[in-house]
Amino acid sequence: MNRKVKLQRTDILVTMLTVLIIIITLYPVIYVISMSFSDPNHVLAKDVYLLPKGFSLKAYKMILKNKTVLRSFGNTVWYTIVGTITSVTLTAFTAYPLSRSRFFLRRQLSFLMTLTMFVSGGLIPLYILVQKLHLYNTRWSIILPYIISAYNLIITRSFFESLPEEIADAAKIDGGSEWTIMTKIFIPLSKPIISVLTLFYGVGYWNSYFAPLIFLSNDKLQPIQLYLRGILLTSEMQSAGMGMDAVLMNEQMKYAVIVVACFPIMILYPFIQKYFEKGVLIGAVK
Amino acid sequence: MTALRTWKKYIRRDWMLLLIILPGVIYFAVFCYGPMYGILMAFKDYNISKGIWGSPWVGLKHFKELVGSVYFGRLVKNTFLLSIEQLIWSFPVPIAFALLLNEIRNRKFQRFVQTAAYLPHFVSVVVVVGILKDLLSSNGGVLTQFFSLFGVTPKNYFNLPEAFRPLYVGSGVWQEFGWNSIIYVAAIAGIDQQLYESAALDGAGRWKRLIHITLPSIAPTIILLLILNMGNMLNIGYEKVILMYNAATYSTADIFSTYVYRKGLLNAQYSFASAVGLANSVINVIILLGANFLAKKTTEISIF
Repeated sequence: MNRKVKLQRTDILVTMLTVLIIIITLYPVIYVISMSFSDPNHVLAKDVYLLPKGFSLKAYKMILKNKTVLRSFGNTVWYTIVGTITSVTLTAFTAYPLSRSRFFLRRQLSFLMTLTMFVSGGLIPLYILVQKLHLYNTRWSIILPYIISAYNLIITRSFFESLPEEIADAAKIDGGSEWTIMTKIFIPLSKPIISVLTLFYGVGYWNSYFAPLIFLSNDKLQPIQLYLRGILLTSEMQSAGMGMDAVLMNEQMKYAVIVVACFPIMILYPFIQKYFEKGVLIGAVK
Repeated sequence: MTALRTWKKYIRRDWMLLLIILPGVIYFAVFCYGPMYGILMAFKDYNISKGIWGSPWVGLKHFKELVGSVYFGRLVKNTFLLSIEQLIWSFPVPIAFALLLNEIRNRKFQRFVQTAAYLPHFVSVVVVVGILKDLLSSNGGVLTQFFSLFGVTPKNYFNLPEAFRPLYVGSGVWQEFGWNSIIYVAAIAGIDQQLYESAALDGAGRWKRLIHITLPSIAPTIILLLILNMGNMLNIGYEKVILMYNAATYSTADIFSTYVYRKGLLNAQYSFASAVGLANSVINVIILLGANFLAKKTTEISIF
């Protein structure tokens, strides 16, 4: 009897601790969403604490009229789609030969590619290289230098290695070329790893700000993250010299832009959730 | 002669695999090994018109300048302190969280908590720093209002040197604890349930089972990740530091990589900045090898 009471007490403690953690984790997210939908006067008075006070879509309407936001958002969509497709394709193509046990350069190339996780030339030589290749201020400058991540390459190779080699051997005997084996047998069996790669690269491109910061000085090419950096972290300068209305809207618009910038990822989140756990665990095996 | 013939034979046999991997090889050669050639700049006075090879050699001039600089001590101290504080907090929290999750009995609630905890991982660092700045704003930020309930006067935390490291580390823990717990949750899920059942029969309570079964079972995972984390210790996220610091907080926030960024990209002192970057990488590799060596000696677990 005594024991049962004790166990329940532990359960209460565990639950309380967990609820506290959830509050700390989710509060900032809820706060930002509430601020973006509240009446602008409450936003300026800073008396929104959890749920929206009043209701207004003004900030979102302003975003729809703001050409810079729309252009940055469009740029981010372009970088994410083009970058993810090329990255996933190239990673799978590079991982496939590395997973074939008879490929004669397998060990040497695997070693050289893995090594890049630990040693690199550093920021300045990369910057100079991008300029030398005339990539500076082009859309490809933020995709090409990061197109394959060595970590993703390794987890993809491990995944391919886990597929039974007999299927490939059988296809080989039937006269199938390596290209046919890869595209017709391995890739169709690789949905889990392709989803993981798409997720990792996609989130990476969507959220990246540093590469655009150093490689894109042209405003027209800048992604939403750089725009956000401008309004969130250097906004004091911008609001100086604006009218009252402009200040009011500027204050609320930043919450709305955050919501818009995070929205696609949050929407996809429930669908991709099961894949990313898998991704981390495939990576952990090696 | 025979070696050449074997190579020819291999190439004839595997030409299609070579073709498939070629774009990847070009990428690594150009964008990963190409910049390594650029490290030569650190030993030269780089001049854009002369190129890396044509610029004059200056030996260790830039390294001497770095070590002799008034900032050197500060950079070393800040880089180490930030890395160590980051490790001290961000490493154990996910373990504790995974253990806590394991104690939740309602599966659905457990699932929900896990899902909620991963969410911040997908938020961009710009947004994280932006929200943090907003919550802590001295002009009515929610956290500032909350603190004032306890009589704390509003401060501009982003301009306080002593607040930089706690803010950096705290927001990092907030963002990554759930994500980093995935691997421990998986390790705990892999523990043989019979162990728990027989321990319960022997009268071991939940606390005892946690200490004597769960923790020892996931210890190898913990050690392996600790080595990896220590090896990566100095590779701290300068992208986030650049968003968080300003001239008022350089005294605690300026680290090697942000110094490289400022000197190299903002002041265009390419050679000097490359030298700073190289010094940082060399220290990184030494720490990685050291951590690995220590782990091998004490636990027989290593990554190399």
